[in-house]
Amino acid sequence: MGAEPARMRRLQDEAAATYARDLAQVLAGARLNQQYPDAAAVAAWTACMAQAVRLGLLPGLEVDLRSGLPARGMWERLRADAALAPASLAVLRPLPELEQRARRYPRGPYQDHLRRHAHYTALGGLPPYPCEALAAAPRREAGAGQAASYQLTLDTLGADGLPVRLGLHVRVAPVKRCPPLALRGEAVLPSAEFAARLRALAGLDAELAFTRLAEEPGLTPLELLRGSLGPVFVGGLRSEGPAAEAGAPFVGTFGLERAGTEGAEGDNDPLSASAPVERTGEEARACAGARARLGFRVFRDRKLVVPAALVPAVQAWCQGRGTRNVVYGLEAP
Amino acid sequence: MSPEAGYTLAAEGALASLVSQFSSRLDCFRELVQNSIDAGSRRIDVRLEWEPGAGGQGTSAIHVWDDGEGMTAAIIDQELTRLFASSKEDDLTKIGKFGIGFVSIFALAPRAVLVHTGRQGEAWEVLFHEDRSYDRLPLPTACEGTRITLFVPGDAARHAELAAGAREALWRWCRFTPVALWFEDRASGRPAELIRAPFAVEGECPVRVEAEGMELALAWSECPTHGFYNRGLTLLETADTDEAVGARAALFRRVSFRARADKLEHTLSRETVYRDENLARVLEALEAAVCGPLADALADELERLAALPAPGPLELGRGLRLLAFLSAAPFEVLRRLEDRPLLAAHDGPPRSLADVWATARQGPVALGAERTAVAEALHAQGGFCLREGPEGQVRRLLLRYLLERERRSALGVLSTLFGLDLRADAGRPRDWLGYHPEERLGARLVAPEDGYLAVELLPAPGPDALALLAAAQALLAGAGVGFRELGACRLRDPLPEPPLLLQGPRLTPLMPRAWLRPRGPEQAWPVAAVNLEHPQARACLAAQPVQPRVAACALARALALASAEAPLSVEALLGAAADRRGGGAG
Repeated sequence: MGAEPARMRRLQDEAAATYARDLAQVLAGARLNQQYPDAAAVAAWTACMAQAVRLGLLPGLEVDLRSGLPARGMWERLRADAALAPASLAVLRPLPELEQRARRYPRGPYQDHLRRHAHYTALGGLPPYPCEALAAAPRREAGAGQAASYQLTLDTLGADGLPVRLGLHVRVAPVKRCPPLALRGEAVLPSAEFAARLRALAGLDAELAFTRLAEEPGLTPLELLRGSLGPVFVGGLRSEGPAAEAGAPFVGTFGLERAGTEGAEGDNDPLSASAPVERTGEEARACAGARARLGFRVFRDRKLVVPAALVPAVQAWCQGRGTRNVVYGLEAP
Repeated sequence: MSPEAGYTLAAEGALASLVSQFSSRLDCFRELVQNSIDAGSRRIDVRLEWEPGAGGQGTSAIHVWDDGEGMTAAIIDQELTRLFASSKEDDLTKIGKFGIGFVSIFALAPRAVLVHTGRQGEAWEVLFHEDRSYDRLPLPTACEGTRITLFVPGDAARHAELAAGAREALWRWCRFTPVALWFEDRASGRPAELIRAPFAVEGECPVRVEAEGMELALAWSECPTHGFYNRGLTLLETADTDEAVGARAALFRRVSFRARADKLEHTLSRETVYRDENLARVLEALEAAVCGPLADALADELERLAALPAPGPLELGRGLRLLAFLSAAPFEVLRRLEDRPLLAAHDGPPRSLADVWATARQGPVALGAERTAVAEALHAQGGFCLREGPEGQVRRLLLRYLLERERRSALGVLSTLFGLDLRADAGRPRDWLGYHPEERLGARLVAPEDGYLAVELLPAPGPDALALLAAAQALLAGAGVGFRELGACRLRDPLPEPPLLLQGPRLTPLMPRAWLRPRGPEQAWPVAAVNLEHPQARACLAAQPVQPRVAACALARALALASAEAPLSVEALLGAAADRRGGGAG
């Protein structure tokens, strides 16, 4: 019996910095729109993790080898640091004074304080945390005989370690008890219970998420988009699929699933075959029932970023799997 | 030609009239950027290339590429190519409403327009011809987003003009958009440029305010500009305050602002922001921001400057400039800040508007550009002299504050006492106050030398003087106009007509000149001092050793004349003297 393959790899100093830089290039090359999590923010937070490693404040940058992205613990750690950053900076001495003291007392605690100052300052300049946010906005006002509809956007870290954005267009009928959304002036506020159920949906595929959403009382889903970052493999980390077969130094894949009462039915994800959606009997029956009742359709898509020289080969590989995908070529980072 | 070919762009006549309402043909770039934002793009690339042809002519290729959600065949046929067929019309999350965005590109008279777009597995190439008919063909490879290329004929000069105009239009309309908007003219050889500016305004004490669904940037400015934006796209930018805020203009005459709100809309012709309840909400939020955080920011800075122990010329100038903003602010702002020490004094701590109000109710408020001996003396006895600017900036502010404060205070009293329905903007104050407040209050804001009289108080003026004063005080008391205290003094400053009597609520080395005026018997000040150098006082003093009763009677009468508007008769004084004598004998 062979040993279970490692699920994490810890990158140190230069390797962490290179990883963060390469990941940023692949994410930028994917030209991800608002249907996906904020790739620039993911890149910025990863770069901050690498900097924390370089400063000696983290023992290493742990990468989840299933997703090729920073492990969940890294996100949590940095998020906690970011929350503490203002208070932590407030108790540290001003930077010029710290620098002066660090020069004067090289063996004192001030070197460490300087490193912390740099870390907390960097955290303060980061874009919003990309893996936890829920926003709601009115989309269409109530009309004759029709309830108002809302746009909800949930960013979270999926169970598989991939940053996920769930975009929902839902119609909400007025309900007296426990409404999923409440209006406070101009703001739309999801109830805590509804928000928790939405977070659970982010771990499901679009078809099942749409089905579960349709079970919410007073709520009619019109469209659900599920954009995900990854798996992305850079810097010789474990890889799968065509790029790995061709010995590519990096590959980025970005899934987009759509379920809605309008639009096409189809599967244009070349990775579907290698990771088919598994359903329990109850889930399969629920999906079938919801499809029959609501008439919604599901479309799965995926785009890829690979070395420019490999674009034709990857396109051919996709065609061989019956899909036609957007493949962006990138000069090797 | 595919089966899909041969469509014709709808409503061409309407297009011409619509696009002609735009201020410039190049405003079509704003329309394309708006469509891209609505499609969920995070990045938009605008790139121009120049392809030379024969005879100096050539073709400008204008690429506008986005990463948005793209289009299916149904969207292309039913929305992209049809005027007023936008599915975004009642979608509150979109900027576009009218379905005229894409067709505005034909204002550039392109020879052809090529569109590549894809969505949900579909990938299309749409070629618009010069006559605006179009062919839609499937693409052999996958495609995402929308990539538009216009081919515009012309020479190199026309290309340069087009490129400069496109860049200017993007900076004008799109510099605050949240997307990464890149511009590049490859013919120029310059690298790609990110069209982005920080969402801020130039001016003093800038603040940012985030409210529900809106973001505001404000600052005090001598030449204010005002802007309204939807997701960073410009709806209106103007220096005309009346045009921007209408009836609220008075509040914004010295305030620059930018207001970004998702619910603001533009008019069909894009010439201005649509005047509706959403704009009204934004204006309310702006008003609250001016009277709140912006006023506080100004007060913070004024306080800091006023507290500087030895300000340099730069700080002095800045403080006066900021005070001018405060002068132009609505009275509600002044009331909000009236307890804060914003006004620098020549000696001692900074003073507040409330301090000035309290002082002005009793006497003069001293202002001066320079620190003088009188100003120092004023400080020494617990008063203050405010630091004035060369153009009377402090006086202007104080007069405005005092006038409005008095006006409202009087209005309040009249309303309370007589139940009058007097609104805050009721008529000219002098019509219902019975006096001209501007003149009266203006007269109280004076240079220290003009407002105060330097006096030497004489606690021990000599036995004759003491006896004379005591006798005169007794006579006056008997006639019912006595002072609680009657002392002696001498003036430090020569006056052409020196007063016999100085009176007031207290005696100090600096006496407000306003106290010298005679007052009615019931208003007489309780404390007074006789100027022993006055000719009448000198004459009485000379008579005192010889005829003390006559001297006391003469002084008492002179004092009564000087202190009250209704003089006492000689008989009354003599009667008082007789009573006193009788009482003394008894």
